[in-house]
Amino acid sequence: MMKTRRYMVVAAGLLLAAGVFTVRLGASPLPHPRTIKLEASQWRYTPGIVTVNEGDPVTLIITASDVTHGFFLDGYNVTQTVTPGQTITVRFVATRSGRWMFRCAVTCGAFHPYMIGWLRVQPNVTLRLGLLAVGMIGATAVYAAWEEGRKL
Amino acid sequence: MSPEQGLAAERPEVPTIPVARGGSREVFLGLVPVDARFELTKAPWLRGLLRSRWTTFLPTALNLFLFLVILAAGVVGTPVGNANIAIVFIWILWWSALMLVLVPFASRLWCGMCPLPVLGEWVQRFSLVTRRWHRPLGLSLKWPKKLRSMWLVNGVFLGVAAFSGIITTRPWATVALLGSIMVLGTGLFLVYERRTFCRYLCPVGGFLGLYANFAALEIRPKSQPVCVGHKSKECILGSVAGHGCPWLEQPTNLKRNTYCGLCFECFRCCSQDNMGLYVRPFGTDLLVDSHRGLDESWKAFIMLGAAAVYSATMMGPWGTLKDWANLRSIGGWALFAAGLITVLAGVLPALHGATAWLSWRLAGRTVPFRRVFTNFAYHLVPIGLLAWIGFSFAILLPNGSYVIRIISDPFGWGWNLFGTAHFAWTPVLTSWLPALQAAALIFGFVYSLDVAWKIARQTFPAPAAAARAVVPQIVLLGGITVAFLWLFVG
Repeated sequence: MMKTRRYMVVAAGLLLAAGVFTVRLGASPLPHPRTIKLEASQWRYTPGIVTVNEGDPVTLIITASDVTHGFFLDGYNVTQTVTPGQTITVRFVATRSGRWMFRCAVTCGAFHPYMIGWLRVQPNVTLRLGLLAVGMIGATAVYAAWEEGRKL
Repeated sequence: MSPEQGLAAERPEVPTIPVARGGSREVFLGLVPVDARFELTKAPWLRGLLRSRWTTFLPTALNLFLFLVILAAGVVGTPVGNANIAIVFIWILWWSALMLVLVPFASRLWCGMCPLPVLGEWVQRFSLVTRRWHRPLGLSLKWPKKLRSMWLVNGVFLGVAAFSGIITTRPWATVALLGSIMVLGTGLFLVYERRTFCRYLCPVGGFLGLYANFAALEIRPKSQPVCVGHKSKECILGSVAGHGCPWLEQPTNLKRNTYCGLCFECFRCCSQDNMGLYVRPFGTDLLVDSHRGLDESWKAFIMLGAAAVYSATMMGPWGTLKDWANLRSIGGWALFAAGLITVLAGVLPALHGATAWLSWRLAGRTVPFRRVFTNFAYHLVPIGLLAWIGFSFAILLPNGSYVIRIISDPFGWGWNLFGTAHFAWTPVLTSWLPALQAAALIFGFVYSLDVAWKIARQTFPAPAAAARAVVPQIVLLGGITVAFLWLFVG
C-alpha cells in the first residue's frame, strides 16, 4: 500500500511539473482577428470544426439554409437565432482555451439536440492536461510493474 | 466456533480476491481496502423499510404510471422529441440518472422498480403487493440451458443500438421499443419462471448487470455459517413473507451484483434476518474470479464501443455521420449499422485479443489464453462506465432544462399544468463540461489500471509474470482513454 501511494505521489508531482511547463506552449503571442462563415442546416454546421487561437477576436457570420436555427456557444454563453435568408453576426473574443461545443438553440427537427459543432481555441489546455495525466499515470504504472517484476 | 471465526463470520465474504504480497489486505488505489464494508441495514428503520412489500410496490407503481403517460405521449403527443415527455424523460432524465447516479452508487436498484416487466410479474404472482402462497400463474418453464448467458442480450442490444439515432429522437420509436419490451416481457413471464426475461433478454439489464459489478452497493448474507446451517433456504424457495429470489440467484451464496435486481425479496423471506445491504468500494465484484465469461467480456466491449460511437455521432461535428444514424438514406444507415456492429463486436474484441495475447506471451503462457482474454476484459468496466458518465454529462447539462418545461406540457399540446411550460431552454454548467468529462475519464483510467493490476495478479500465480502481463493492458487502457479524451475535449 505504501509503495502504491509513493508511486501516486511521484506521478502527481511529475504531472504537476510537466503541466506547468508544457500546457501553454504554442500559445499565440498576438491576437489575430478571425472572420468565419458558418452555415446552419438540419442537423449540422458547415464547417463543423472552427479553430482559432486564444485571444483572437472572432466574428462568425451565420446563415441558415433550410429552417430557423439557433447558435449557442458553450463556455461563452453566446446565443443567437438565424432564419433562412437572414445573415447574423456573432462576435466574441476567444478568451477561454479548449474545445467548446456550439449547438442549435432553436428546435429545428428530430435531431435538433445533436446539431453540434466544435470551436477549438488553441492551445487546448484541457486536452493537454488530460494527455499529460494519461501519459504520466500510464508511465508510472508501467514503471511500477517493471519494478515489481524485477524484484521478484 | 472460536471468537476469531465468529468475528470473521460476521463480515460478508469477499470471495477469491487476491491477497497482496506479504499477506496484507488488498486495497483499491492504495486507499480503500477491497473488503471494506459498511452495513446500511444496521439502521433498524432501513431494515424495516426494505422488509416492507410496499417499498418495492410504490416506486414501481409510480414508474408504471409515468410509463403509461410516456406510452400515450409517444402515440398521441407531438412528434418533436424535445417537446415530448417520451424523449425528455427517457433519454435525458432516466438515462442520465442511470449512468450518473443509479448504476455507480445503487447497482441495479432501477431493476427493482422497473415498470417494464411488472405487469407480467403481477400476473405471474396473481398479486400486486401481498404474498399469495400458491403456484405461480403460467407455465413457469425453465430457460434453456444453452441460452443462459448474456449472448442473447448482447445481440438484442446491438440490434437496438443500430437504430439509436431514430429511437433517441422520435417519440414513436422510443415507445415502440419500450412497448415491445413490455409486451414481450409480459408474455415471457407467463411462459418462463420468475424474472427469466429480465435476466436473459432485457437489453437494458445486460449492461446494468455488467456495470453493477462496479457499483458501491451490494446485498450479501451477513453471515455465511448462518446460511449454511439454515436448511429451509427461504430466500431461494420463498416463504409466506416473500418470494424466492425472482432473479434465480442463490442469495445465500451471492458473490457478484450481475444478476441481483435489488428487489429485496431475500430480506422479506429470511427468517434469520441474515441479509444485509452494504456500501463497499467501487469495482469489488470485478475481482471475483468465478462466473466470468466471454459473454460478459463481449458486453464490456460493446458498451465501451457504444460510448465512443454515440459520442462521435451525437456530440461530434460530423453531419454525415448524423445523417447516417438518422436514417436519411437506407444506404447511409446500413453503413452506420455495419460500422457500429463491426467496431463494437469485432474491432474492439480484436484489439483486446491482441493485447491479451501479448500479456499471455509476456507472462510465459502459464495459463490458458482464454482465461487471460476473459479476465482482462473486466478492467474495461471502470473506463467504460466513466466514459458513459462523461457522455451523460454532455446529454444532461445542455438538455436537462427541457424536463422543467415538459412536466407542465408532457404531450406538447400547449398545456401549462405547473406553470413551467414556457421555461426557456437553459444550458447548465456547460462551461464545466470539458473539465467534468476529462476528470471522469482520468478517474476511470486510474481505476481500470488498478483493477487490471489486481486481475493480472489473480490470473498469473507468479508475481513476476503478472507484472509483465499487465504492461500491454496499461498501454491498451492508455490508448482508450486518449481516444475518449479526444472525443470529449480534443
